Amino acid sequence: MICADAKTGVVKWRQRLQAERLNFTISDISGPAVTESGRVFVYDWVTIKDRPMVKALIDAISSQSASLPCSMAPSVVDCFAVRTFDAMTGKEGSYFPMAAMGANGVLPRVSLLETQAGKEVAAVPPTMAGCPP
Amino acid sequence: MLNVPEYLGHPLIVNNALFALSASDLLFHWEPEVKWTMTRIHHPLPDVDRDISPTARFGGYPPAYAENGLVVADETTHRFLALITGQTQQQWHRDIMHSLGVPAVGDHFLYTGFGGAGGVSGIVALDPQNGHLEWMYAPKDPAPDPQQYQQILSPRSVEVPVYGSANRTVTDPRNGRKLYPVELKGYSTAMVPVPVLQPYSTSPFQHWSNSGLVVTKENIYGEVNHTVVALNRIGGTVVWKYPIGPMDVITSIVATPEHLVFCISTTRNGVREPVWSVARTKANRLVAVDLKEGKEVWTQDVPRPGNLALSNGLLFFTDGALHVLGPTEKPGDKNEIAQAVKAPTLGAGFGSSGRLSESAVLPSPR
Repeated sequence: MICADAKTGVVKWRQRLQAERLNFTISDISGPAVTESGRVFVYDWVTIKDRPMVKALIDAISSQSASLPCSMAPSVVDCFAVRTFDAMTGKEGSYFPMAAMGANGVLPRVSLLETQAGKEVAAVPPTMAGCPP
Repeated sequence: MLNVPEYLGHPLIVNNALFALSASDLLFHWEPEVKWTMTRIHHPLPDVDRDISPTARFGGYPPAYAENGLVVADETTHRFLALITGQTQQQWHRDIMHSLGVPAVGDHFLYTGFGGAGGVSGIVALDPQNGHLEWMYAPKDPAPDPQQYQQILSPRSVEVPVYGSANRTVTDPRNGRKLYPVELKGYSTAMVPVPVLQPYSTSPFQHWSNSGLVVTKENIYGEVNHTVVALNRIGGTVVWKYPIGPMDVITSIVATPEHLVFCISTTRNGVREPVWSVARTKANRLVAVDLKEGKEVWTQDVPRPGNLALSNGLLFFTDGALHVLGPTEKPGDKNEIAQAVKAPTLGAGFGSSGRLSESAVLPSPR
């Protein structure tokens, strides 16, 4: 990913992304997106091998859901991620590894037939059909 | 190793937060260092046990931000359009029968193209407070987009009996041996895949090949039925039409304060494809028309279909490379449009030096 001066095209900074291609094309062609405060969001793929980091990621799930996802004893987290960079300097910020943070686990559900404003319904297990064709 | 992928679609930035819908049924929200939420959105089929009713398929649908929530839609399975107002709250949802284009929100209206390939059979305006129809523009009343049923496996939780050794022994009356009986200890929950039929559009995810809408203070602009139309934003009446050919599709559309700029691709077989997977087109061109009357100001042939974006008076066109078109005259110069008509040249893409070597004549946004 590069950041270039809009008027001159001079490259200000560049950052290497891990994934040459993401399997879901929309993820591949979407973004990057930039906030007014200067944070760049970009989709990528991450492999996390650092054990404390893996453990911290898994522990973080408990703040989202009372139930742990289905297979939560990994030593490596390898998944789609949202990464962030500072728009001015290109310095990497925090990132969000989807699978590690519970995207494949039990999550809250809004059911369009049962949910009224202010009323919650039960959590649901992960989808099993995978991505659409 | 955890490696089950969950991919996200077009990001929507609201203040410092990112919202996105996944390929499957996930709504993702993340404001770094502050908060994140993930929610699955379910639109159960009316005649199927809700626990196993198939989940939504967003296909990375681009969400839109209304004043009080997030506009989301599944235009492929059990189709719906909804306004999500909290992690597990909706304000309203509508069942729909058509494909959808890319939504837009402006001044108390929610707009979207709908119907047929690319969701370009018409445009509707809804009230984002309640989802009620405000107006609809559809030259030919579009029939519901066809669906078929496919069998998928849906997870169902079942109670599984758990047996274990009893805390007692019994004696076999035949030989006097001590036996350690097994007894029911309780139940655990297991997930079992259950086959279930899911309606699925024969042409799924038509927002992939929709170029979106442009909303201004007075009008809304978009592709409908082989035309680019300008519709009055409040009532949906036609302001002007710019016809395109029967094999032409609009792949991208943007507007400066005075001009509407779009990319037209002439397909070989009339089949619409997402801009990233277009294999071969007969011709591609950029067209600029004036916003008020739809009169053509300039056209420019381009080698491939691509996406347009505007920033700081420059027009960016990405077709695998990044091209930049910019004004050569000062804003307000009366000659600028006349100069633009003289066939603007497409700015060169990034060379190895990472510098732009030239730019093109383009009416300046004011």
